[in-house]
Amino acid sequence: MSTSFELNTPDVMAEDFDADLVLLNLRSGEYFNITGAPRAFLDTVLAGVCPTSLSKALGQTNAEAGAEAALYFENLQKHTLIRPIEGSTAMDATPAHAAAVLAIGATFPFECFDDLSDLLAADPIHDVVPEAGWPVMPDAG
Amino acid sequence: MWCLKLAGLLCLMPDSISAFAITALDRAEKALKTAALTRISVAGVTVGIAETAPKVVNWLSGQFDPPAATPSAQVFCDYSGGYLPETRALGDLSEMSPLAFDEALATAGLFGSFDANQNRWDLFDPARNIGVRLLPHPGAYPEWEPTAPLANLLGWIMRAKGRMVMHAASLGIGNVGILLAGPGGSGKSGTTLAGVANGLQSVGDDYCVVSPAPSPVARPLYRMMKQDSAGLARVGINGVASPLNWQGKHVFDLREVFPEAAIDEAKIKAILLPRVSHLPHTKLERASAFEALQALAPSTMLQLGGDRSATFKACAEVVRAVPAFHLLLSEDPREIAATIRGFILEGGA
Repeated sequence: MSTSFELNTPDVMAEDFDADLVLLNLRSGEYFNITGAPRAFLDTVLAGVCPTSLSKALGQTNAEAGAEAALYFENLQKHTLIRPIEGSTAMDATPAHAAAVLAIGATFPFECFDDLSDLLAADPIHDVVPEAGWPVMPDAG
Repeated sequence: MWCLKLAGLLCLMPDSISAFAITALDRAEKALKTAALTRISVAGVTVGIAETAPKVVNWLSGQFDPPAATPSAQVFCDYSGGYLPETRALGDLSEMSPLAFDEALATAGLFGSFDANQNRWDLFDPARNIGVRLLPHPGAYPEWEPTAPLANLLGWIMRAKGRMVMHAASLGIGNVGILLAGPGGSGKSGTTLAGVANGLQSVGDDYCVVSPAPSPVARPLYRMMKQDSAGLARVGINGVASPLNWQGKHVFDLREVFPEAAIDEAKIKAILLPRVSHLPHTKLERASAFEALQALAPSTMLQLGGDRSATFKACAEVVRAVPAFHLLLSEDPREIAATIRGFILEGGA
């Protein structure tokens, strides 16, 4: 029996722009643009559907999509964007869940932007160009 | 040994840093009660500033008309170095990341920024609307300070008033305009200069104070513009009577060089993301909300320390409120300005 998942707040901030969901991990400085099928997958998972069973349900219609979705879920966890809800029980995915995701798309690219993470983790003495101020890194604009 | 040192850094430093910050702000509050305040008005907010030696008021007062209103926020700039023994007692802060520093101050509800190398501190208490700048001596100002004085502190004061300093330029016509956002080298300043040299107006070429709700309005943070000689020559200006700054750029007051161009307010109707493209004609292409947020938020978050989550949220609010477009630039400043003028007048913005 698997648990359901939620966003890893407050470390992870979410901003919803209709088609795009932008997540910022304040801890790592990484930010993510989640759109298309990945957005539909994440929305379904956050609605309480088991991600593993959703990947399997996707795989029953489209093997490649199922494998990509499973990898996408691994990335969501690896980048600590989501966390299991303690004591919860996730719903098993139905064919309707999978169909709703596949209606949006069948590819699950994981877009991670880390230009901010280098800067948030900057060593304020050694990494910062003195003429640009503190704590602004080279080429920060 | 290294682990013990690291454990000490992680466990003890946040409390001691916030305690130091509170003490410094308490002292500033006390000093401000009897100090002679120089008043400036930034985006409609009156700020009172006192210094132990006149430095920053000289750079700021020329940019802002002295307001009559009572200050609703105050800043004390202490160049006596009296705080130095206390900061030495904090230990070696050189390994502390800006994020960890933000978190340490957040435990006390404060914002701050520090430069461990020079022992320079900016601290702000939004509950009291009091800020303090600590420098070891009056000459310890960084060389970029005259162009953008008290940037962090003014940013936090604006935030406490529900406004947000954003790393963006602006252009407008008749108090309706656009923000220009993007990383250094994307063409923000050059586009702003092209605009003001060809009949458009601006509230700023580097930073703007933006009120996100109910619809975004941009106001000036500073009145100064920066541009190198080549950039000025591109718009037909051969020589501005101003010294070169640390970047080798001319720094000049927008009101002096382009008197008609300086406006106090612009309702923002779009965000443009300029890109130096060397096209025969400037083109506008719709950009996604993510692209606009990517152009606006990271550099604003980095340049305005303290509570980066609030900065991210405010940038998102502006992005959500207006459409965004890529601005693929030609090399002709007149044509660039005409394209933006048409975009604004024809309701594209």
